Amino acid sequence: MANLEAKGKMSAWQLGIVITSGLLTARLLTATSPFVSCAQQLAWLSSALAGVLFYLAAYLMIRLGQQFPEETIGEYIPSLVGRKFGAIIFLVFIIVLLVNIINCAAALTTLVSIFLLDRTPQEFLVIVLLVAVVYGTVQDWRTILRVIQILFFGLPMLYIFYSLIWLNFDPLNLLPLWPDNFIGILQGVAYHTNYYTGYESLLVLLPLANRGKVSFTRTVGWGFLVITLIYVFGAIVLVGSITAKTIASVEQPVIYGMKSVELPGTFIERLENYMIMFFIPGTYISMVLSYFAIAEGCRKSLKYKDHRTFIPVFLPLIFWVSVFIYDPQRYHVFQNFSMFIAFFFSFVIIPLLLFLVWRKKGRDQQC
Amino acid sequence: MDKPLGFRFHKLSAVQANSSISETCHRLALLQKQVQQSKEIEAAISVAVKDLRKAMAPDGQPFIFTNNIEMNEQLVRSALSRCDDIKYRSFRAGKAKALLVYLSGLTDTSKLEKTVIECLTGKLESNETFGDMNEITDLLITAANVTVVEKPTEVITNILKGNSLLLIDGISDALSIDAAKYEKRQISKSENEDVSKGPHDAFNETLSDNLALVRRRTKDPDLKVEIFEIGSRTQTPVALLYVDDIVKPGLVDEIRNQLLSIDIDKVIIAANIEEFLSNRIWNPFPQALATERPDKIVAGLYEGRISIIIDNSPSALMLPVSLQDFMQSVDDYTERPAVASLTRFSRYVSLFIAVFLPAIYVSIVSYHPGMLPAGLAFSIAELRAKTPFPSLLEAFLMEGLLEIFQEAIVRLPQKLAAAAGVVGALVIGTTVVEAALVNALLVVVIALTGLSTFSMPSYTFGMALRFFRIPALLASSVLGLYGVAIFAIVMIVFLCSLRTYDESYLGDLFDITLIADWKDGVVRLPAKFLTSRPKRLGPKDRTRLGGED
Repeated sequence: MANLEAKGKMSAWQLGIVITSGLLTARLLTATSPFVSCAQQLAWLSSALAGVLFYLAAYLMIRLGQQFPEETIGEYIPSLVGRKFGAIIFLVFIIVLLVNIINCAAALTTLVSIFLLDRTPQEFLVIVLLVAVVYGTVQDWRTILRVIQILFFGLPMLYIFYSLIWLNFDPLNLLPLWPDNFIGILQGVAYHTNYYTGYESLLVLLPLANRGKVSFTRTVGWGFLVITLIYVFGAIVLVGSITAKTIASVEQPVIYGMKSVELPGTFIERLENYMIMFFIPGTYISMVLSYFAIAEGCRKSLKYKDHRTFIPVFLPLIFWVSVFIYDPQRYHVFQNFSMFIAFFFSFVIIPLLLFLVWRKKGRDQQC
Repeated sequence: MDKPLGFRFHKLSAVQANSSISETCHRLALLQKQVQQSKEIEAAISVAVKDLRKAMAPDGQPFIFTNNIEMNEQLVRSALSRCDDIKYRSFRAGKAKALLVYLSGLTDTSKLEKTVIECLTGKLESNETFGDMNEITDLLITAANVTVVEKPTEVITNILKGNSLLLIDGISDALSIDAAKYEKRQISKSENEDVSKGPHDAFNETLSDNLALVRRRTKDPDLKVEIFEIGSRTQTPVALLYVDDIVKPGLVDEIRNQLLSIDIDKVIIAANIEEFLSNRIWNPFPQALATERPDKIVAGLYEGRISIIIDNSPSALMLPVSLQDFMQSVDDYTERPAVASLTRFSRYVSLFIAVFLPAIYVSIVSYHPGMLPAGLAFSIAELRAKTPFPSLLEAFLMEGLLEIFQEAIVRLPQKLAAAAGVVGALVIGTTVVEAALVNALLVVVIALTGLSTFSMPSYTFGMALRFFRIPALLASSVLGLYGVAIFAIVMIVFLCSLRTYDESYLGDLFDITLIADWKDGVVRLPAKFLTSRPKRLGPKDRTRLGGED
């Protein structure tokens, strides 16, 4: 039965699409300033290096998941580090994804409240967004996968608008081309964490994917390549159009760059509004994906039948924090926290777990 | 000498001196009481008789036929009491007495005369007798379709279907003779799904005609037709059609079980069945494709779908279906692929316009006028300054008017509908603008929305789109384009969550695992590229071109 093959688990390519679309969110519009302020004109190099680094983290996660093909992170970590440490690591995993959801909600609603609906309270915007996210998350995985695929095909429109910033491009703004600020470039790499958070959901999604001829590392690798190209391209366009100095000093540099684009004699005005509109589906995908990963991870590790049980549990926290960080100062503190915890999870906990798995395997083989 | 007989009217008191009105009333009441009691006694006796007969009859049967034709006639008459359209015709068949029972209006009496009465009266000697019914069917009756029936329930049902019943004295079986004939609509042009180049014949209300229209298009022995009766009272014949070596395994069983489990007293129209086959009863989108076109049904069957044809309904159902099936027309296959693809794509654009255009209008006018070029924004502001209502109310007003026009045009006879269209378009459309109730731009927006809805090949699907326009308008009025975007996402999630027989309602739309099906979806590739059947329907045999079939 041909169609039943398609209906079981998702394919490796679908996994690639899911991870790719989960990373393209409204944070792209807001999180540019910190890394450009570090890397200056060479922000594009920083983005390229970040792409390699975060793909490495995703690669480690896939390798870890491959050791436990039918299990999610919450199920196998107790066997590696014991129940107590296992619970703590699982909690960190949930916090990383929750922080991603909150960041997405805050970034999108902030942009909407500033540029689209200047008199609407942010609380209301967050509630509406969360209602839609909850409606998406309560669906089964097949439905969510389908939603992601459909919305994913809307994302190119976003980059068509993004590419309009080229109209103000001045190559002189990218000079000097030779890096003399290596530390700044590396710092910029770390600041990319807020761009890339979301791929951690791999640790829950891997058992839902079909292990066929195409490897996950390949499909997810293609996804990371696309994302890295988009970020590198975005960094070049943005720095080349509005200079690194301006980017470092404004809150939403992409919007700033878009505002400066004028299409004479055309019907379209306020291009930034269109851009925000096209960011809504991308941000939604990321939120639903992370929320589903949290709920599904909890369901599997606590042996529940339905992932929906865990959806209301985190809802008040997401709402409260999303509204709380509306203040720019709090937002920056939260950004630093989210960067730290995501970095710690990807580059400390995951390699450690993988090391433990390999050590255990080695011992078993010796026995 | 006898007195001449004469009548004279006197007062009651003059005839019976002692009588009074009260006495008469009392006697009348007594008489009424006795009449009532006698009726009750009669009913009780008939119940007792029925019970006695039932006690003798097998389980589930109201009575049992005897060898005595008079007794049998009485039993049939009692079972079909107060049915004046049932006719009884007694005659002699040889030595035995015979009785023909039929339903007038549903029976071809001339056929009965030729194939039954003439055969039994003309060919037999006056003293000839019969052993059993089989002897009569084998030697005498010339009717094509005859069945010996024993069960009284079957006998009654057969009579009501238009089959005639033959009873012979001395034989306890009955003979059901197919002589049904009734007035029906001829096969004519499709009224709701007309095409420019394709075939024009459409289903009518007769199941046998509709099955013939399908059979005429294919000589495939693997096309199976199963007929059930659904509706405890109407016992409506319902045909299940599928191509045995193509349809997904298990699908036929599932639909057959669903059909057989429908426990309802009447099935009058196809929608009665369709609602029972839908898994989400409040979902406004149709989950089975109702069509009048036999060519569409045959095409669906050869893609691995199942069709259900209901007697007395000119619409056949096809399932499982997806959104793309409602967006396709037979004309897509009669036109050149490039043209057909463009037409299909424009339908998808129409779908978007049908749901979201009024909402986008309200959002831009109310929340984001800055997104418009300055000149246009000023001219819209000028137009809106003349109208007293907020944009949402204006939009609702026009939506209401549009709905009323649509309903009026659908319900009215064709000639009057044209007049109503003129009244709607010219008189009211112009007047509401001149009266400054709504602005002219909104009239354009709503008219475009209405036209987009009408461009949907399926009327039911278009109705569902109309349904979603209202929440989209409300979302736009509260949160502008942000509300529209969120509503669009919610609608996509809703559509993704819909399934018909485990098939996604969105079919292959943007599903990369079904990329092979994309060639006949939003666009249509030339026929030579359509080499395989849709993967999403899980056909047993996917080869369409170049294979054995």
